[in-house]
Amino acid sequence: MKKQKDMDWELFELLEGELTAEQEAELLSKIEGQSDLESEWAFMQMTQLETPEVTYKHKDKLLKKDTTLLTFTAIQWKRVVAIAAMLVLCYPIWNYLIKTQDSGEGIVGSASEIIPKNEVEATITPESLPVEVKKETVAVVKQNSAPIKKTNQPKPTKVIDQTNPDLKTPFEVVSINSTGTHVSIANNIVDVQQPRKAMVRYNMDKDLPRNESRYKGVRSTVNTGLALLATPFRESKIQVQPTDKKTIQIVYSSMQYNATAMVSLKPLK
Amino acid sequence: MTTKEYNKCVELLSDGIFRFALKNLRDEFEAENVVQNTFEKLWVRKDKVEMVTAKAFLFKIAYNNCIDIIRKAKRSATMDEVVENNYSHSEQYSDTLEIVNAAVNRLPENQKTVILLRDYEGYDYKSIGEITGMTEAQVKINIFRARQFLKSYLKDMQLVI
Repeated sequence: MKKQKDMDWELFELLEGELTAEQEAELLSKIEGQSDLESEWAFMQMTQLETPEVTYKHKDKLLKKDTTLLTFTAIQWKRVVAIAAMLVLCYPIWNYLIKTQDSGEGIVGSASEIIPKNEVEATITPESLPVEVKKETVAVVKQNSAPIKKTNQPKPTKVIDQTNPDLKTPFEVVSINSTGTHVSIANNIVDVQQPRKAMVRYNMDKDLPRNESRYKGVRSTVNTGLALLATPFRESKIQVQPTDKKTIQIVYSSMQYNATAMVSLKPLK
Repeated sequence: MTTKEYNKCVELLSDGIFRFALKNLRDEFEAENVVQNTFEKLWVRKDKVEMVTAKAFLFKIAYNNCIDIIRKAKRSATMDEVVENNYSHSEQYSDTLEIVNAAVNRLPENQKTVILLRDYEGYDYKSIGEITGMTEAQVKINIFRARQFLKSYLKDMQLVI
């Protein structure tokens, strides 16, 4: 019985491929010629199952759509839309920032190019801008900014709408509070309750012709002064009260120059 | 595992899983459910399952699923009651393959599972052990017992035929 079981185990291991080549050869030679062993080995081999041809019919229900490309495309599309939306939304802010970072000189200096000539004539009084040149250092001009920056002008705003000098409509006069000794506004220093935005425009060409050598160096100083004038407008909330005056006179001076400029200030709508 | 790899698994392995489940359960509807559940689980865990281990994962899930179904149907007890050589000879078979299939259906569950995995899927003892939770020795002895049973069955049936 034990011998039979051992033989069954050996045949099993032979079928399973568990024997070494030598053991296998030895066992096969042992089987040969012994009918009972041959029969046992034949039955043992029949226990090895043949894989039946079975097909699962519903594979299509198991398959998943490969959404990798779709997802990627969707994400890309969303990104593009998001970036476009951000650009659209950020443009006004960017535009605003760019403008607020412009120097006052740029704003004021370019005014002559912005304001139509006929309109400028209506707003600027040349006689009000006598320029007296003093031979002093330009560096001192910067000191003029100190009192202006130290003014108690309220919170930042910006100078914008250079392209809308609608001079035919009645102007609103802007007053600047506490702009210091170097800058004053004639006749109209008014505290106004409602903060407004404003712009400073000045046509320098009319008063300080480019061709005249005596104004050489003056234009830049005037520009600087006007830029300084513009500064509180940009950095402060400006209180505005409507008046019937179209222009205000701003006198500014430095150790180099004394100048009086007629500047029109217009609150933006 | 990507979706593409998952689909490849479906193409390559669904037949094998179905065959394994069908042979274990002898119920086509139940076997189809097992395949569906198995691949659903693979899909859910596809990010954690590598392509190389997918086959073993699927068979393990399918095996556990089959065991659950058998236990629920109380078939397991019936199967375990089948004692080696305790079979009737009343069935009529036309060829050896049918006899073998009939014999396989009479195997105890653990023996049937290991011999199916061994012969149908070509797994080694270690892999079968990983799927079924048996040791390699247990796997081997169960396969031996299964073959012994089949051999005896075949011998007896040959006499009948």
